[in-house]
Amino acid sequence: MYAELHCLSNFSFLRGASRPEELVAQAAKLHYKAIAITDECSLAGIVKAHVAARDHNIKLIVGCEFKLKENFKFVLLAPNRIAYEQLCALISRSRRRAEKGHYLLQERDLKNHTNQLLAIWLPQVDQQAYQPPVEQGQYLHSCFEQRLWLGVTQLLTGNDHEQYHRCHQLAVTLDIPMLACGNVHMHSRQRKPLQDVLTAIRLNHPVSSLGRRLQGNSERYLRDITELNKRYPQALLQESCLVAERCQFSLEELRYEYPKELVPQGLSASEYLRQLVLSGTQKRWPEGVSPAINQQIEHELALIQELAYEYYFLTVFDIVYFARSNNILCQGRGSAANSVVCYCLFITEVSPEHTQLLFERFISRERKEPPDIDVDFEHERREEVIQYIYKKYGRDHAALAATIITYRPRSAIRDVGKALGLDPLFIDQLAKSLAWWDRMGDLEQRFREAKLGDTDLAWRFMTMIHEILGFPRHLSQHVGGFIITAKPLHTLVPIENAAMDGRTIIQWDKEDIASLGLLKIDILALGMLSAIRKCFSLIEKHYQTPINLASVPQGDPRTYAMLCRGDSLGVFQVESRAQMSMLPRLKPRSFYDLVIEVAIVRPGPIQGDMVHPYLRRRQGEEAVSYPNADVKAVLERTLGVPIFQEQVIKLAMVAAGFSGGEADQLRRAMASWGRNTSLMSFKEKLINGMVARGHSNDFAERLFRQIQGFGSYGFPESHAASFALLVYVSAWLKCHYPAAFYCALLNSQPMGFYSPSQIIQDARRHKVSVNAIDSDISQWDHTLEDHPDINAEPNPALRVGLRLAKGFNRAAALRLCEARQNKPFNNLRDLAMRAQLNRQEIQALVSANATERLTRNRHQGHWQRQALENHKPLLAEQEAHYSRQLDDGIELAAPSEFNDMVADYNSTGLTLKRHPLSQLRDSPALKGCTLARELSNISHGRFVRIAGLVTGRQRPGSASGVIFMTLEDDTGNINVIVWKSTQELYRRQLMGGKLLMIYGTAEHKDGVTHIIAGRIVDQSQLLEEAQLKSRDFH
Amino acid sequence: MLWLCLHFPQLPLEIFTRHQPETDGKPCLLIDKNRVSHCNKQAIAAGINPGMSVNTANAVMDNLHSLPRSTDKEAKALEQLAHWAYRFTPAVSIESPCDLLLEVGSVLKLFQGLDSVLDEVKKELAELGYSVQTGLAHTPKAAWLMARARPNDHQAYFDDQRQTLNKQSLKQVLNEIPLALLHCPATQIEQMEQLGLSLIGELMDLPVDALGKRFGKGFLRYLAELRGEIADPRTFIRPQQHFEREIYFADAVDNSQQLLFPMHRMLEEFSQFLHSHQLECTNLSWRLHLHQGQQDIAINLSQPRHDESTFFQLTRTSLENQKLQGKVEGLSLHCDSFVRFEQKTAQLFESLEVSRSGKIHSLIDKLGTRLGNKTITSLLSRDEHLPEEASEPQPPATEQPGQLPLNFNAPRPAWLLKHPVSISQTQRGLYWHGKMTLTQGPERIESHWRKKPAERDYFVAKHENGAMYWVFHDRLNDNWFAQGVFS
Repeated sequence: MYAELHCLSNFSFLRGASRPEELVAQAAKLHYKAIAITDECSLAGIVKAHVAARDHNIKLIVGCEFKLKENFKFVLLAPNRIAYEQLCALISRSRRRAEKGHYLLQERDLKNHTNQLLAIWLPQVDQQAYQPPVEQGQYLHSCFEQRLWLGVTQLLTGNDHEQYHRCHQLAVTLDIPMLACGNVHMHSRQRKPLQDVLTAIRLNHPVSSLGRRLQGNSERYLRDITELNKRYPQALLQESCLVAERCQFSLEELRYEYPKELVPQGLSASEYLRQLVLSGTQKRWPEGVSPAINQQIEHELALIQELAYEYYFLTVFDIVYFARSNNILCQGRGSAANSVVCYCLFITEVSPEHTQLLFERFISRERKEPPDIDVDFEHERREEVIQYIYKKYGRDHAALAATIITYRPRSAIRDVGKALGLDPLFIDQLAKSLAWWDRMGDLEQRFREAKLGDTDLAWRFMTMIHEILGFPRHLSQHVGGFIITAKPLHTLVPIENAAMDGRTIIQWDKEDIASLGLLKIDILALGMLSAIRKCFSLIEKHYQTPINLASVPQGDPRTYAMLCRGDSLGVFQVESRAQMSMLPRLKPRSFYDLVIEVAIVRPGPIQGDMVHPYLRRRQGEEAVSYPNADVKAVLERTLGVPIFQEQVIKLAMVAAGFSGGEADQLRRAMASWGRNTSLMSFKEKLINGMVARGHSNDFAERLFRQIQGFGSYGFPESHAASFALLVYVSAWLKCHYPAAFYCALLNSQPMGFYSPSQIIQDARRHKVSVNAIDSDISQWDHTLEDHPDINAEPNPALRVGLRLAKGFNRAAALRLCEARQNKPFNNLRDLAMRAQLNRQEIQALVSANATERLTRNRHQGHWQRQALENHKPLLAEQEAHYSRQLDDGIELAAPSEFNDMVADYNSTGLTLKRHPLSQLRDSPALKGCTLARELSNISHGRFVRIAGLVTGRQRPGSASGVIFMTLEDDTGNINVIVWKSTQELYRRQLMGGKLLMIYGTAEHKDGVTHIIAGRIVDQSQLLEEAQLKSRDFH
Repeated sequence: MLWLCLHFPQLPLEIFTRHQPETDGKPCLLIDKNRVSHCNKQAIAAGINPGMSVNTANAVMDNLHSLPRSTDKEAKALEQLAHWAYRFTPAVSIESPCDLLLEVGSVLKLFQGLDSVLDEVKKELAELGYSVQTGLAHTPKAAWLMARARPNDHQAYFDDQRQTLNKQSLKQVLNEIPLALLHCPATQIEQMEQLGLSLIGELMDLPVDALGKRFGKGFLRYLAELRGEIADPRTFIRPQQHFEREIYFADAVDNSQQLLFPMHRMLEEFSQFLHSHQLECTNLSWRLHLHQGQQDIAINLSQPRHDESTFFQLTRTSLENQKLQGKVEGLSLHCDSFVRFEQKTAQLFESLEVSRSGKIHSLIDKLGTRLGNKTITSLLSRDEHLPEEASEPQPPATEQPGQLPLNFNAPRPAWLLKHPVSISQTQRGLYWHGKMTLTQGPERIESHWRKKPAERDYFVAKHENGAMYWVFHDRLNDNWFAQGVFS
């Protein structure tokens, strides 16, 4: 009989070589009485162990290993809830006083608030120069009294007898009972090579150079009972069981308590929530609520009350209310959009009239899972919301969840490669292309080519990588998952420092929180919300029209017409190249079309090959039919083709005979796809079930692929609906207030797919006039300028802001704007002095040509600026002469148009002058190239020659090695497709070319034109020649 | 003054690739801080350019042969080249990282003209495996510039017949050179380009004080030195030190004893040379000039020395071990590798450690001279778990011989067998030339990182003859072996 009380998992980063689940399962298999997971000063792996222990029906003990100082180690175990809280507090204290990833335990920490914890001292008895560490034992004894044991560990190191003897001596001297414990680092001895690799990564040396810093044998594993009986006296094994017996704490006991301060006195939470919802309905439906909606509200409130989730809704409401009253745009996403209650609380914006609500997706009685509300906030102001939460609940009650950063293929290749001593360049090559992944032969081939003839090494490399995948490396801050509690947080879970100053994280990730049934709120950042809010403000200022999310008119045909053309640059979610080419095919005409549009260009539907069937049915090329009424109920709103995640789950039930519980398991497996293989276990059942019910095998296979695709980027309908709302709003703004829209978009950078240059070109194509950056007029942000004549068109114009001048900064811009208010600047020195600009700031302005009025041209500007830097005038009154002094009597020639344009790009990332392609049009090499604008008139399959600057180059994972390129000429963008065989021939041009000329064929489909590249010529030298040539003119 | 600049554009790469047929014809590149710093023409043909990131280079081509850049090796190679160039002129100056500046005006006559100097230079460098660009001008800085801007091309401004520069046309050529090539910081070049300037001539047209205001005094001095308006003093290399003495006998000697006396005299002279230059040496070589051919005797020391008695003792021992291969007509002593002599402060009581190590060294030297250096090895201990990997023979150390790590928990025998010897396991126990009984253990030692993984349980075993052995049980094959003997 044995209970393992000293066992490290891989959450003791780079020490333990097994997952907590593996350790627990193995202990159960070996019929241990219990197993403690005692990671070093961490409970980050304990929830995973807890779930596994529940499944394998073995007792799990919560504990931790600590190192007080060199050679002074012990384990603390939590026998009850109070002890657990003491342990959490102890970990938090030692972690909070050290930098991220480390901890610092002090002797006094053990004296107080540890009176329930059990301790196992692990005296170091294996050194040659052994001095009995009696004081250590005495100190622990004084702290833990009768709750202290001495852990004996026998690892076949050659002097086990002697070590045992030393332990015995100490135990007798200090009167401490002994027990056996294993210092376990892995669940099976087969993990030893991996354990060596982890050691190598931790010490940052290749395995081969570590020598005896590696463990000498693989005895730190979970041994079977027979082996244990050989190594330890019975009494010591017995004692381990007795200690395990005393540990009665389980994580099941943790109960979540909400902060109560949200409810006004005299009201119950339930009453208060109802009150808020009712006042919400009056704002949402001033003309009165329909009976159907009323019924739904009552249904939801009843369920919320039954499951006691009122505080959760009130907490989210409170945060959203704070944001709204501070004019921060926000919107709930995810399954919360299925709830009328959320809509009435202004947590979500999608009106229940627009979509089919599936409240059970959000909260269900059967699923013992708390609801999950994710709210997006303006990305530039999310921090205010976070600070509000900290202020309102205190840092003891609010913290961010952790994200466990785990080994992914690339990081695994890098670290394992380094540990095996491979050449860095070779490792880099392997990490770059994963083409060899899953094909051992390919990897061996690469090792041979790299003259690492030893295929053993390749094999070992591969094994190690596969073993290490998914291993945690460190904890990081979750993007916005907050946990808020009534009791101090550190009594629930340890807290440690995050990388960001002043931030803390808990030691559990989202999954752990969900496994324990605790509640969390995601406070997310969304750039588009910033842009929309800024756009609203601009509209109010320049058009005197107050506007908000709710007041944007619905169903505007002009907006939909614009989207149908694929004219969507800058529009939320549908601006990517893939979406742009989907829009003219799908032709959205209603809000629900947008919901589908958002969801269909996703790995799920694409991998499931559902896109074309849907488009065919939508265009009437294929009849819409359903095998039976059940399937029809699920798929009717998407013409019989599954698009959304919940449809697929439902299909598993109605078409493959899954029970509700099984369907739920399938959903969970889907979410964890990529991290484990549980999803594969459903494949057979799904396909057999569907075939047995008369569906085609092909459809079943496709459905499964779709499920796999959903895994990484699951997109439920409610989520798509929330996003579709922002798609519509941003499209409507672009359509009706283009100047304000582009201005707001530019002021919210960086966000989205496109650079300021691309945004401004698009703006000009939409007849927005754009004025150049100017130190006399420009603000930090881009601004709108009203034309003095209100009837002038286009109006207003967009003025480029100083934020585009590289090397400039906001504070300098503010000083500049203030300084010029009194009177305009006389010359460059006047500007520099009055705005207190330093060297770099002046250079940024001159480079951006923002000082043209003062300096005539760029060359002269730099000539003056260079004189400024080293020579300060003695007397300020001599100002009149400064200007002449700055010139030193030299008048430099202005730059050529082409060079000025190049300087524009270099200093601001864009130009308002003629596009380079327009300037190069006359060069013989480019003569006769078809313009982007003209491509739609070229007939399908015709041969064309095009040229443009390379602005985008992507190789999507879903498109089997195809490269999509975007070329830009003076009239627009050109989409180019480069097939794999062509890539091989033109690798260099593809990789390094800035200006490419492409011979290819035009293809039109549904209003989208692509060029299929045949021959690729790198014409980048034209750019350089043009710069040189224009120099020779003067 | 006529300055010849030898610019070695590919030196950082060529120090690795010259004389290496395996890299011949293959794309090859040098990596410095994750960027390609240099690459050969095959790599350029494949689309790789200096300045590219390693990632891009990898994407352009698979299986690149790449090397990390070593500025130390470059400096050393350049210094060697400087000493090689010393044969052309005594005025050789090193311009790091990859140029040599030679004043050749004074030696043109000697070499019968510039062309023959250049021909010779190029021929020899080609044999050495270095590519070179030459530049010629009246100042070092101008020559440096010409080597880059107009490499190997000086007909336009050098008059071969009269062996002189045409200053006027040289100035014209200089003015047409892009200013990007000027030897100044990249930021300064950028500042000039921001003014729309591109040629050196355009820069020269601007007023000097306006330039000084903008680019500083250092830059003005550079321009003046470039133009030869002020002197550009340079440090020249000093010829390499070496010691070479040669004597010839009036009557040929055929008895090695007779050689000892002159040898002693030459060593005395050598020792004085070392003293006066504050040097020590670790090897020297004798050459006996025979009636037909020659016979070489090399003397190696395990520690740098400068005293003639040590040299003489080792010389005598060496000589005793060799047979004269003929009559000796002459004798030369040569030494060209020295180390700087470090004056050790004499302590009143020399520590035991120092005197003992001194004794060991002289013992090693004596044994080595007598038995041949290969016969002596010392054991270097290595920090490894597996016993056979925990020590390694190595040449008698110039350093102290390695000490065995002391911190083993379990017993380790002083004597390890060369290979583990299989012992048999009978029903009555272990047997190897007699019965063995296990007395202590096991110690489990494993290693998973060799071709053959090892999993062994080690024991101390007592032989029936009383000796103690170190034996192990191979857990993978269930065999027993003896590996060591306890003293």
